[in-house]
Amino acid sequence: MAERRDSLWRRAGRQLMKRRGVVICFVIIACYLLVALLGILGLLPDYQERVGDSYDPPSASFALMLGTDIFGRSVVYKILAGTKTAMLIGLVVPAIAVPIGVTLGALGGYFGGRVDAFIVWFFSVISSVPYILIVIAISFVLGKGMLAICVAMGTVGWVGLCRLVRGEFIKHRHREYALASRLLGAGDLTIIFRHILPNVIHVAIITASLQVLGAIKSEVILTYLGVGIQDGSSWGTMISDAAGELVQGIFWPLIGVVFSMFFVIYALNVVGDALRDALDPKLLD
Amino acid sequence: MTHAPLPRALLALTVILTLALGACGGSKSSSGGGEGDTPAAAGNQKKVLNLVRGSAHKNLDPVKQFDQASADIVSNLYDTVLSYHYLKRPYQLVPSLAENMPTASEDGLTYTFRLRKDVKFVDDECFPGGKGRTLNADDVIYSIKRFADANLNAQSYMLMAGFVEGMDAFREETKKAGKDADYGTLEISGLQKVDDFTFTMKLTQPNPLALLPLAASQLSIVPREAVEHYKADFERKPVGSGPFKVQKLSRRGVIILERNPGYHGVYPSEGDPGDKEAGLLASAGQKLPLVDEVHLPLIEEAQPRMLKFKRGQIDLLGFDKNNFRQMAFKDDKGFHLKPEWADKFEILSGESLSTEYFVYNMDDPLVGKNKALRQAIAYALDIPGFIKDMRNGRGVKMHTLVPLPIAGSERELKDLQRYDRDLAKAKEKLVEAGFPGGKGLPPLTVEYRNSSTDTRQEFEYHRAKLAEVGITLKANFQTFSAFLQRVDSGNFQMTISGWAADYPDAENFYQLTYGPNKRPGPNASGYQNPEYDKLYERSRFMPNGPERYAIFKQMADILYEDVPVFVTWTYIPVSMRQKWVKNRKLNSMITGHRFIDIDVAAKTKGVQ
Repeated sequence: MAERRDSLWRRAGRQLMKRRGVVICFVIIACYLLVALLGILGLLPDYQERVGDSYDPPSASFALMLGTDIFGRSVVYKILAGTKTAMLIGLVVPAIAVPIGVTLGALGGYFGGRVDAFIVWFFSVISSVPYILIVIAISFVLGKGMLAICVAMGTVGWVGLCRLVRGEFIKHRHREYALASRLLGAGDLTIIFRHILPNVIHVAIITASLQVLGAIKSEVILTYLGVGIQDGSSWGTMISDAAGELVQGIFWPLIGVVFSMFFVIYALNVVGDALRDALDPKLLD
Repeated sequence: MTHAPLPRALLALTVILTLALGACGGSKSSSGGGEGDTPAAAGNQKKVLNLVRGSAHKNLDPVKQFDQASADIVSNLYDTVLSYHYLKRPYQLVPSLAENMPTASEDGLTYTFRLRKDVKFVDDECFPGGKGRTLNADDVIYSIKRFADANLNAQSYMLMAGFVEGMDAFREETKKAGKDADYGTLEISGLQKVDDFTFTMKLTQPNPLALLPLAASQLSIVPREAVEHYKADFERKPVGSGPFKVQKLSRRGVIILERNPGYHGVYPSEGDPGDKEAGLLASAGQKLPLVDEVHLPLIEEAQPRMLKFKRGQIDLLGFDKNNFRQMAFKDDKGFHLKPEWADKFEILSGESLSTEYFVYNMDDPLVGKNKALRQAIAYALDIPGFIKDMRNGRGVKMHTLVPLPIAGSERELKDLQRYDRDLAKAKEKLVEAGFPGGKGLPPLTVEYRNSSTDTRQEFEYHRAKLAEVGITLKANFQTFSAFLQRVDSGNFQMTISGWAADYPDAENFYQLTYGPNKRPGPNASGYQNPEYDKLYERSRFMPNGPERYAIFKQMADILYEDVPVFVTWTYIPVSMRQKWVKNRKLNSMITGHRFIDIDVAAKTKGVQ
């Protein structure tokens, strides 16, 4: 089994590297991750520092490349701070959602019966409430800010992955290799995590790559609605401010944030699709 | 499958027709005034005043309402014993349900009120036969009892607390009796019915402010039948005798008020100097209200409101920050519209009777117990900068709680101590507070009542200013109900609050830091200072004059020193009106819909 798995990964790697667009998108994502890392290390410029007058238009220097906001703060610095927030959320949310989704999906799919019925009931209940509404409700309970938003999105965002993994486990649990392992005396957990999971993990990887995208978009929407990040270091805050700024003909903060979002979301979409193409055995020749 | 082409064609045709009809409908609606009223208005000369609500009302029971949105509706549907002159300044009490201003006994303790005999409640199913009956003294006494009932009125009783004979005792009795309090057996000894249209109110001591609460919307007169018929639903089924009655009531949709033909009011014949020249006396002596209907859609976002105003679909509109920047400016002479808008609309501004202030929770172990820290914050905040940058200059920095147009404000107080921005002093105070340069000081949290863009930007502004001296500010943006719960329970560090006058007297503002009014009353900081309380009690029932102002100065000095609240600024309302709107004068004490007139011909022409 290991040999086949290695060849799948190797082949996927080769396939991805052959596509120039995908490589560029990987580079774009790496740049965003680098900005996030610099932000975590405190190496980004202070977005709260005043660098000019209120609503200075874009000019030649780096700080003023996209002009200033109402307080004379650099729009570029704010976008960088927003990038850190977005990428952190984009990473933390799948880090919470993927293990939950994989574990519950694996248990439900493998054991079936009452365990499966309970897990299906559980994710049906959660998925019956609109995503944004349930995230808002959880955020209200947990309080606002980065942690609350991550927990809220993470605890709700596992449902789709759970469904997929459960389906895969139902398919795999009666395959010969799983039955053989059982005959050789392997326990349930060993079969689940050592034998079946490596064969379905590509589903989790594809879903996680798309979940990064979803988490970034959800954070922006939630912050725009006033329930997300409250300290101003979010793209959602900048979009919310832009509603009033456009009336006054001040377009540069919105332009900046829109392009920042566009590049990362586009890159994540492309990479997510490419990963699916490369890793999904059904799509392989 | 064989039938597929026909349904598809039909579907396509349906879509085309729907779009075409939709487009026609849209065009008709927009040319007709947005709410679909103006074509009718042009045809039958119906006068419709199109206004807008920025927030939904909470409760239409006069004694339970405490938000501006509710008060605006209540004051159009109900009437009060007294009211304020629409045009004269300073604000003057005038009779409304009363025939004349009440007469006082020689000792100044008993007022006799004679009610008009021609006032009827609007027709409603709560009355026998559905016909509204004549309003009488029993209704007034019943309404005042409801106002004093501790089970109904938790918010505004302080307006009449402590000066009407037997009223405080009545309130205590209602508290004991709970929701079963029987007004038939419980009496307010100072309120006596003389005959069907006469009653007296006896005070415990002479009080020049005694009549002012009788003009407050919380003391609107309600019929007992409606309260008993609708029970808990009464807060959604208003039955009054005001200038308008409800045609349609939708909390989150359009409210339509229609003229109450039985309303007794007439437009004033006198005003301030200059009012006549401004055309504000053109309707003198005319029966009120002057318009047939008032349409009040709820539009919470500023931009759609402004777009509708620009298309003539809204008659009066206050400015928001962004649209002000685009359309208007301020100079030494005041507020003006930019040339491209000046020939289309008219700008109005005036003085408001409100105050904004930071509230420190005096029970908080950090902020409440560290006076120097509170003083440091007061020195570090930049209020003039805030007014200029965040409010387009539509405000005035204040140094006492009392709004400037009210007697006893800082205009009358000499040598007032004040907090002007001084970073050196702020840093000194931080050292005194034990946090030099902000070292060791944990982030301070401010509670906000919403999470709008303006609120968040307001927080970011203050955060930046405090950061200059090393104070870190955090915000907790929340819903209004969560905010109220937090503040009322004292579970907060700092918040920003505002107070609009219930009546135009300084006492109404100094009570905000009076000990017995501690939260959930209006004293949100929970400030307790026996010396301040004594001064407040001494000043409360005094007539305005140097002696009272001297006490106000002492109280202002105490608040300056202790800083339980840091008074920041007062708002200058700036709004625009369409040129077809007549008789508009800013009045902070009453809602002026009944006085507004519309030039229907001009409006029909002007609406896009």
